Amino acid sequence: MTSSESRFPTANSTLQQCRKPATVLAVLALAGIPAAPAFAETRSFVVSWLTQAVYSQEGDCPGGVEPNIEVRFRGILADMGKSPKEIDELMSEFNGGGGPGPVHEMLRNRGSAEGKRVFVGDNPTAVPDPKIHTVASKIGPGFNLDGKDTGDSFEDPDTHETGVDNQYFRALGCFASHRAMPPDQPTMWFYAWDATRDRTKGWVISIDGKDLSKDGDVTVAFGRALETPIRTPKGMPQRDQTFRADPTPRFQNTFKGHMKDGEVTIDPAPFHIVTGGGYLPLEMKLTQTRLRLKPKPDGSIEGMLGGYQPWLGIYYMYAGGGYGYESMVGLNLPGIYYALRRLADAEPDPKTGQNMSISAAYRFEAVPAIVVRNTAQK
Amino acid sequence: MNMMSVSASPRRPRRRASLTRALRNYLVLLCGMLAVCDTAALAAAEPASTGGQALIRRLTPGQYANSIKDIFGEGIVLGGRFEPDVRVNGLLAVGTSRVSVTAAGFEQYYTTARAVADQVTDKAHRATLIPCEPANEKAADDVCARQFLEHTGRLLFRRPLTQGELETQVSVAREAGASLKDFYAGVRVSLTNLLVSPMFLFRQETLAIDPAHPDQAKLDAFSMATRLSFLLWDTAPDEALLHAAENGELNTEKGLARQVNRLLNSPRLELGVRALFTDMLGFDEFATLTKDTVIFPKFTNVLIGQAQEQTLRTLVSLLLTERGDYRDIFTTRKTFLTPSLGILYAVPVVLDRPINTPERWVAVEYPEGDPRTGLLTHASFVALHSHPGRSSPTLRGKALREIFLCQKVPQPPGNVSFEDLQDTANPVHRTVRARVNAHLTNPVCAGCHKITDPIGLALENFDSAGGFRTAENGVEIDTSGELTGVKFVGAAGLGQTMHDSAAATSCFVNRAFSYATGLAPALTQANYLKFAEDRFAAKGYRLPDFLKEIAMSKAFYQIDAPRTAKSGETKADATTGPNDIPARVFTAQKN
Repeated sequence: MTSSESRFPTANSTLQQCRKPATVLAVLALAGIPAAPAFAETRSFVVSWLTQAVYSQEGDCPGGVEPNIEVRFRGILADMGKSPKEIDELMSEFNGGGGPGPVHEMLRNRGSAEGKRVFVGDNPTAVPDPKIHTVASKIGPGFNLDGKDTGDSFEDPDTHETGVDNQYFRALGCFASHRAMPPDQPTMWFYAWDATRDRTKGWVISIDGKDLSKDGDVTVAFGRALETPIRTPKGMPQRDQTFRADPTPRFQNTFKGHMKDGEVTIDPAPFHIVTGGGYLPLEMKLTQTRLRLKPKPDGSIEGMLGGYQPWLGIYYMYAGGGYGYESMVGLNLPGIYYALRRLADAEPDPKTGQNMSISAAYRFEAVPAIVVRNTAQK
Repeated sequence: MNMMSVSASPRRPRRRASLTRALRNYLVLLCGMLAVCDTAALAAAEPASTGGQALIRRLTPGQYANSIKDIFGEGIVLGGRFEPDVRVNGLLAVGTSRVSVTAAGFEQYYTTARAVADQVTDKAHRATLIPCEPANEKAADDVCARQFLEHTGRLLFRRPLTQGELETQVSVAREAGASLKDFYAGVRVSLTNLLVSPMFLFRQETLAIDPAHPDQAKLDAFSMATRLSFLLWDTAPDEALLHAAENGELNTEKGLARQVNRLLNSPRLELGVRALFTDMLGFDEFATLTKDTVIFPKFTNVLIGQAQEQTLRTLVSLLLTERGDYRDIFTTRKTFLTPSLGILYAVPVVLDRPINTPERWVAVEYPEGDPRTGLLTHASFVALHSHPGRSSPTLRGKALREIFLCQKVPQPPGNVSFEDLQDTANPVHRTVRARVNAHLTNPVCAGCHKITDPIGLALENFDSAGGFRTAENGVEIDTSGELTGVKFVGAAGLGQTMHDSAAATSCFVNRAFSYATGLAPALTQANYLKFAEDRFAAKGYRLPDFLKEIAMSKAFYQIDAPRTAKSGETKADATTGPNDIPARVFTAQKN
């Protein structure tokens, strides 16, 4: 990775990377906005998409990929003691997952608590652990967060780092909606990000350094902007849009970073960002965060973000999708709950010893943007 | 590379002309500083002019909409589209006297008229827009109908209705109202009639004898008011202007000046200036502009409107708000951008409002030396005059000559091969300049291209969508160019050359006067146009002052009316002129 193409592209004709501070200062002065202290060089980007980092291969689910919706629901109904004839009658009204109807009521509220039928999304422990299938592959994307190479860790397919911790991939990687081989994205995440894009403020990244064409220390800022990305005709964020970084400190993260052979990595630190909700967790919190940014020839970057993430937050993102995530996406909410709890690998509760965080990794791409920092919102 | 580099030709005459221009500019500046100068140009009297023709001009869609909005208010919704205008001598304004209304076009006017009349007479609007209430809503009421139709007809026809016109529509309202047992339905029919009348849809200019020169004709007072109002506000005369026409105020220099100043000092002057430049810059072509969004994903549909608006805001700010020098339109570093335009140009557009604000306009000033200066770098020029998938120095050079220099560039012959130019992936000719040079090996092509391409090649830093670039297919772009012997580099150099070009200001004077009168400049008006150019220069190329010059000039209203062979008197046509207004004795001519 030493060719010039692997470096962060030097600013050419555009002003997108603040190579021409005079222009930026002139515009900021006109807008009455005080400019931030200038770094020697800054490159900024806005995240165009983000997905759970997965690496789905043939045979990586020893129990098989989770069955499709109808097969699984027939199994659940059988477990409830329904006869094949009753199941056929009930499923004749299944209607492709769309409700309402007796079968949907039965499947949705299949949990039992205090003598009542309850929705299993809100009450995942109201049913026994369905023991969903999990990934048993040795290859998985992410980072070695704990510095150990244990039996439950992966080898990253790109960096070949061993001891990679990505139990989130292991937990859900056998659902069809969560399976993909890069560069493809899992359907669930592709849809989730796209559906929330128009109400999610831009996630902006700035890399500051003395000379980004050379190896050395850098500062990486990763946070939320005040503006929502404008889409291209294909629906992706436009390049070169101007964003104001949200001045609220809790929406910003600053990392010490290092550039080596054109790639940027950071020292582990906490990460916190707020999303637009909907199909994404309202907030994403990571500890022991790792970040890897790799420039692409077209000026954009591809990145990997990883760390330990509270698994209950992940679970409630799915539960927030309601019964539709079961009947139309094909997830098994109690199964996800139990899998995340079982595979959680960090930050044990002092009283119960239950790990409250799970290792996770996210793949993303970001396109060049103009990011203005230190602006007070008017 | 992009630094401006303007070098004058070493020929002495050009140098002398340049010195003369510099001296004149110095005097203008000095005059402005002292505010007391009365140079020869400033003091000179308007030369005699034979005048132009009186015309019958169809309202443009914008003028139609503005008129309806002004007469009936913002609450009246207009839908549909009218037949397209025709561009003649570089202006739609000139083409308005060359068009008629087809059967299909009349249907569009009629549908719109019905919709307007329905709204004006509906329960939500009638109390505001109809100045009286009928004695009985379920019956005709001549008194109330006459009151409404007389008032509204005067505004629509831009003159009082003749007795015959008024009584005809009152009787229509009476019969329809009685038949339908609804006063408002009757008025609705009459109003529809007025709205589809040629008297509303066409500006029919009528003549009067110039009292100061009985052998000459000029526009009558109502036609003067109409020309004046459409020039400065792009809409029909308001009540005050019609009143001034009616009471003879417009026939006196003092009275005319009072009305001209009133119109010029109104914020509505912006409408007139926008209409002038929308026409002059050919923005009607945006209606058919497309870009290949695979190649230019930044050029979304929203930019079709924003590109025009950027230029119009820039012009209004420079020429009206700041009362700047017209020539600075080619060099100004100030403009207005939205977030989407910022994306297109890859420049910061920092919003100053709360989050979730939709596309907002932000004032931007590029730093000294920035290559994006002047109107010629706006998407409204470089994108409008490019192909969907590639830039075109030829189209840009042609547009610059035709729009800003009033020079006609011939169409290419039918048997030309454009294969070289279209091969943007050619491994040998990787830049437009290289492809153009290859194309020019054909001597048939070279003749025209040499007058367009040296201009357009200077704008090659801007791709087909208006985005900035320094290289094409990996090869650095050479933006050197030439215009009438002046060599320059890049858009900034071209802008400065245009700024300093006497032909550019001369063209604008011609275009603006042509826009005002609806006529291509005639040889018989050459003296006046030269005079107007001098006045424009003497007033520091300030647009409001120049518009005042036109509005106050005799040439603007003077008509070269046909004379009888024997007596030399102006020919009257009493058969079609309204016979109850003595001054209106001459009819307009179709141009």
